[in-house]
Amino acid sequence: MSESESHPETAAVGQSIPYERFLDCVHCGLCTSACPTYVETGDENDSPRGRIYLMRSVVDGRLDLTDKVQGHLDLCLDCRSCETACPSGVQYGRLIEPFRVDMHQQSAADSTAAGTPPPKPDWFHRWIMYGLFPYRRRMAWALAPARWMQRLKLDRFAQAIGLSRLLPERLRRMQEQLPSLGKSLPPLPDFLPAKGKRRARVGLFIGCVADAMFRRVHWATARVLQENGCDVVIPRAQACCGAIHYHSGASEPAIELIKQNSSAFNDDSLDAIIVNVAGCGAMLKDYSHIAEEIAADSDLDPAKFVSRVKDVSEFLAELEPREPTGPIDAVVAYQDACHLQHAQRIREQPRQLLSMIPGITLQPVAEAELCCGAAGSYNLTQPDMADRLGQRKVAELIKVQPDIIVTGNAGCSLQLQAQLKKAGHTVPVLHPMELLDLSYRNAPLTELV
Amino acid sequence: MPGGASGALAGFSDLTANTESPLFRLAESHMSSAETVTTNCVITAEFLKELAAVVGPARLLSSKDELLVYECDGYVVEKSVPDVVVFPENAAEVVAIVTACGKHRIPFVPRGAGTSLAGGCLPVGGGVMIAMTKMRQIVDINLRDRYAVVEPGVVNVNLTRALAGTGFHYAPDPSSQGACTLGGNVATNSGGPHTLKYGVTVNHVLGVEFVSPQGELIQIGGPCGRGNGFDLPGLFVGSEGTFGVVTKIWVRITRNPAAYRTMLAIFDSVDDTTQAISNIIGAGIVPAALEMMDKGIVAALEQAFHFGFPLDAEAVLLIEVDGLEVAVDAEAETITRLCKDSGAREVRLSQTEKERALLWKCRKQAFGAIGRLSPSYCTQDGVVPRTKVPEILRFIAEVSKRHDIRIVNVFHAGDGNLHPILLFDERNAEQVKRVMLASDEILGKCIDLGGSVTGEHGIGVEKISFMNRLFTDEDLTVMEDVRKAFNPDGRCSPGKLLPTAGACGMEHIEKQHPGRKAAM
Amino acid sequence: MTNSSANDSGQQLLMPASTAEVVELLRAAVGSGSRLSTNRVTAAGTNSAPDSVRRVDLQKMNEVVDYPARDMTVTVQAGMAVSELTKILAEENQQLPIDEFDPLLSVGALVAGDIAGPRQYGYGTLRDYVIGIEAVDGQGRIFHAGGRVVKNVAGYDLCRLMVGSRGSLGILTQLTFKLKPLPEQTTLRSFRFDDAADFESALTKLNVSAANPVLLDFNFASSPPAQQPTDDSDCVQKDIPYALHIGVEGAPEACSWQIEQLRNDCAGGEEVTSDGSLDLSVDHHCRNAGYGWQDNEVRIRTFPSKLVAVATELGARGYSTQGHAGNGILFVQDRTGDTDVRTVCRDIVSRHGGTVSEWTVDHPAKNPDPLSAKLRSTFDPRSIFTA
Ligand SMILES: Cc1cc2nc3c(=O)[nH]c(=O)nc-3n(C[C@H](O)[C@H](O)[C@H](O)COP(=O)(O)OP(=O)(O)OC[C@H]3O[C@@H](n4cnc5c(N)ncnc54)[C@H](O)[C@@H]3O)c2cc1C
Ligand SMILES: Cc1cc2nc3c(=O)[nH]c(=O)nc-3n(C[C@H](O)[C@H](O)[C@H](O)COP(=O)(O)OP(=O)(O)OC[C@H]3O[C@@H](n4cnc5c(N)ncnc54)[C@H](O)[C@@H]3O)c2cc1C
Ligand code: SF4
Ligand code: SF4
Repeated sequence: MSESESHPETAAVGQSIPYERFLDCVHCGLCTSACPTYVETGDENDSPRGRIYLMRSVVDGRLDLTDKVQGHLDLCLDCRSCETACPSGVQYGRLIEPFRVDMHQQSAADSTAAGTPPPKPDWFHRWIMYGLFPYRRRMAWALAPARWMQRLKLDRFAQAIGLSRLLPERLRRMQEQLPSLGKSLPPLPDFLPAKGKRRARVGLFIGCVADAMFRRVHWATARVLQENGCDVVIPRAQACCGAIHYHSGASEPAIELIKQNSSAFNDDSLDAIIVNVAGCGAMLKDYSHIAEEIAADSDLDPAKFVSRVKDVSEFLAELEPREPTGPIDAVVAYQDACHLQHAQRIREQPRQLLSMIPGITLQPVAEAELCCGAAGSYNLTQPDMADRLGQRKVAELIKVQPDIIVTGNAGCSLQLQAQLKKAGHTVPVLHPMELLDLSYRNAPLTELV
Repeated sequence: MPGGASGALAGFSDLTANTESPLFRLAESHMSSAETVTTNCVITAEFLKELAAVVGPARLLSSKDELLVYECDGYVVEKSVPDVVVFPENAAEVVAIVTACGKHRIPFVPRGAGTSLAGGCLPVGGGVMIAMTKMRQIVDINLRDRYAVVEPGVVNVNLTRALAGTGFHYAPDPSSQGACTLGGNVATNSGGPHTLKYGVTVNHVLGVEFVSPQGELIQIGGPCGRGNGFDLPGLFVGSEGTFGVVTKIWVRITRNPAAYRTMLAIFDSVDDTTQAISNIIGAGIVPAALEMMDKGIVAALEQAFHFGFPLDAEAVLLIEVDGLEVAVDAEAETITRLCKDSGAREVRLSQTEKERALLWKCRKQAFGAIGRLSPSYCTQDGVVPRTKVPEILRFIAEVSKRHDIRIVNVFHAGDGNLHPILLFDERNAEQVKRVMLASDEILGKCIDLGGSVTGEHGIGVEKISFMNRLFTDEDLTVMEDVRKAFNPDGRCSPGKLLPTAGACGMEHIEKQHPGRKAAM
Repeated sequence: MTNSSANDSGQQLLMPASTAEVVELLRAAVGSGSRLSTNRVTAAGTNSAPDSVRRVDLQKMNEVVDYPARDMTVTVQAGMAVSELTKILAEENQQLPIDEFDPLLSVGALVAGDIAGPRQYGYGTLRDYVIGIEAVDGQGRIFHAGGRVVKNVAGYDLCRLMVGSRGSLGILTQLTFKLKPLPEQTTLRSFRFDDAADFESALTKLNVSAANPVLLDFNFASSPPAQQPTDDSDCVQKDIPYALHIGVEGAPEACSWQIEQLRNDCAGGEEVTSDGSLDLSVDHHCRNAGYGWQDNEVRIRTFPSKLVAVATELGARGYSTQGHAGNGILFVQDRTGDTDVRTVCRDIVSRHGGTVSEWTVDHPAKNPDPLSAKLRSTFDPRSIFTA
């Protein structure tokens, strides 16, 4: 797609979306009750059916892309719960995502046309979202002071004397979202060998935000894989999955990251590329669609890469994992990450793995299909709704009186920890691999909590 | 004009193009009216201020860009944009809203989840839409006395979910139960696959609290049912929003069956299948559910869910018996025998809970899977006496051939409640016209066979023109009088259910809808 | 022309033979300002209407209009006797599972009276069975609602409105019912409880019983404290404080299995076996137990969980009760001759929840609520139908 086509003066937002995708929606409304924002507001404009209607009406020229319309579309978490609920197979993600890309380009174009400098990306996106998040090292640096503050308990001091209120709203939320960082673990090496008989050779994707904040989970994942006879390769050249860029409409950097990752893992000896963060996994698995959408004319073809991407629970369940034997006596509430249950349709596998651990009682939780409000950067861009959904989720989780809450996504984990803290609960939030690793090592739970 | 046999037309692109059908002109007029709201009811700033004083600005929509999504529900052929949407949170707010509407003589219409397939939520002539989606508390569950008290915005399945593990459930299970509200169910008297044995919504409603069109809060019936008066809750259920706004419902909850057996009977001919249906019912067995799916739908379901349906079978029956553990096997055996005697190739008993769940998921999502067969579809809701099922299916096949429209069937066979699904491409206007004619003939035949044009979806605006084929003028006059007893000036849900249900200030509808008796 | 004759009480009896004749009667009544009643003058002579009222009897409209047995629906004229209908249906192994107490009762009266007996616990009431009606209102208008198919939501559900309307909205001329198969076998068992707590606990267990009872009736005999029987003439009162009658049905093995369950549920009581002189069958119980409205009886509808409390409190004041325990329905016998029975019931019910009514007093047409009054004036603006 040439530059002038993608940014026309009178860019008709959503025109690039194949119209059949809108026609797939038969307006039955069966998706509405699965949508977290609709469940909260009760407003059809905040429902999947309503959003499709809004987008289509804009495309049809029946509606202008007003602030209100954009507001309802921005409120969407892109959790794709609606896709799971829709019997007609509507690909909601493939409507809202390109539409949002257009929406952002449109507002940029508008301001250019008006002679004002493009306000976008704003400072927050420029410095924090694009500048910091995608880069493991920068992130680690940025977190260092926070880590020290936490160690010295200065964070609580700052919060107590209201110092943190002086931070800009979004940064303050980021600070609130930070998990307890503990001491910094060493980065993973390039290679970790299989234990016992070798059953597979896998690449491990460690992402950006996640690596800095969740190195512990990466180590646990690698150990579980080793334990199950996997050689684990961790290519240095890998980069951020690009989800943050793509979802906020920054296509070019997204394309760059797709290229970088495809080549980093371009190793025929790998049986699978393992992801332990649901959000990254969903993005990696969607590379082909995205390439088609934003780089149709280029020779970018991530199909081979995509075909090997597996969530760690999906991979292990297929591999038939070695029996974990170390007991963990705990009631566990498993919270499905949207990017696992909806985007990747992975629901049973993590539960299956957790129930293998002796001593664990897995309690079913109501409203399991609803998003916790994390949804990537949503938490930072739509704080109000993120809090409402977070508190709603916490209330349901707490009802089953769990000793541990388990979830397979970095963002969800951050959100849940922050929301639990806000509601005055102290239940730890862990990744399934952490528990599995613990059980394989026959280590006590106190090591983690 | 051949009645409003439009069904729930899937997709919502401009259906009006190049068609002579009066229905299409009618739809077109609605669509154009969607662009410029042309009510005679005047929404003044003062009125808006009064509404805002009740619900606050955050729970009120009045700008066009936010109203558009409310122009239709699950039925997309006719459209009309409301002037205001309000989201009350309690009965007192509903009273205040309805009272304000009364003072300013503004029509209003309640709306639940908007899954109506008959245009029940269409704000004919604009006015206020009262969205009940924020009143969704389950107020009380009483297992010992077997009732629950709910607000109208509670989603049907959420009540049954709240009852999980108690040994009880809420019996009416429309296929849309994951989304539709209990208020909407009460208004349309919803049914579902299990209503064959357990009855429809009215059989499970003990009482209703509603705000009358005059703004009074009225309770009829209650947890102990009614006393010695008229069965007002019975009359209220199915009134399609024309009697007032439901604010609270007392429903009966039902014991879960101790055991069930779910079977899939496979047939090589449609006639054999319908014979089996008739033999089962005739043998005095009331299964919990008896659903038929023909070859076309089975193909789509197989594609969607990979259940392992035989693709060469002409039709399958999904049969469930429930009750005592000691009794279900014998019933299942009898049914198996009856099916085989009628020519079934095979009767499979589902072996696991997982298999049963998948089978039901296939059935309940059947409409949706149609998207895989054709870009658009239209589903009808006719009913015939159960012994007339073979005849109507033969007729449908004949209509399908004559109009060259592919029709697949998935329906509540045990009740004789058909859902023929007509497949087409909405971009082909000529084909759409044939779909209309075919639908119309099918529903006409249902009436001729002693049946009805709607078993569960309601009349709404969609089937209003069939009313005088089903009822005499005198019947309709009496029904209109009953409506007036509740809703004297017709401002509550105007243009619904009865061909003469208008409201003051609705004269434009007559102008826009020549040939339609709707509205005054 | 409509047949008419004078009945025993000298009242004029109108016997239309068709819906058209019913319309004629009504037009004539509208013209002459006279009043009509569908209330039968019972043998006991109750319900006698004032002389100015002409009684309409539909006994000539007693035909089956349509009985497609394999559809399991039947359409009959409203004057047919319920016992006759029962016979016709039984030939096809089918039933309208509504207990009637009077073989002469017409199906019109059955529906208009919303008659319901013991089996309402398992089968529900007439509102669950009437799927179509034809009737003539007080202005002589013939109206229909519903149809002949078991599932139908076209138009307002006037069927429901007519059920229990007691002749105050119109004369029913034709009815269509949804039917049920006759069960293979039915079995009745009775248990006695000496202690209210045991009785209560049995009822609580039965609410979630593994069995599937179709009836759950009780009686509680009490004698006024002041008049405790001095001799043994009234052994029932003395011997059976609480009696519970439970009916189950199905295949023979299903019945015997269920009875085992019932015995578990009723472990706190003692099974009462037939001494041979009693017919302990569901059928006999439903027809002859006499559970229901009788002259001067007060009906209480309360919560099933409050039944024992209500019965016990009434017992302490000397009132015997019986009724449908599973539905929370009690009939209070006024054996004290105390005219205050209603007040006592009201008082007790106000504390436990529910309604109090009497057949003759609480006619729906006398309901004071404005909505009922509006409906009544819609159907019968000239008050042709006596209440
Ligand atoms: C895929 C699909 C499958 C379906 N399957 C079935 C089925 O199996 N059986 C069946 O019966 N129906 C079925 N339906 C139709 C529909 O779901 C039902 O009619 C349902 O009861 C509507 O509920 P709702 O909350 O969506 O109501 P809405 O569509 O919002 O409203 C329906 C009507 O109810 C009125 N109403 C809503 N709330 C109130 C209130 N609080 N007070 C007064 N009036 C109110 C509205 O004015 C309108 O007239 C299906 C629909 C779809 C799309
Ligand atoms: C021993 C005994 C036990 C009983 N148990 C019960 C019980 O458990 N439950 C219960 O509900 N009742 C019970 N009954 C009540 C009994 O069935 C009623 O009292 C009886 O039906 C009323 O008869 P009726 O002579 O007053 O009027 P009926 O002529 O029988 O009519 C009853 C009502 O229907 C109306 N009506 C009749 N025909 C028509 C028509 N065609 N169209 C419109 N309206 C019509 C009449 O106006 C009247 O209001 C019992 C009675 C007895 C004697
Ligand atoms: S997205 Fe799917 S479920 Fe939602 S309204 Fe459209 S077709 Fe129905
Ligand atoms: S993606 Fe999630 S938030 Fe967005 S419309 Fe779908 S269900 Fe709602």
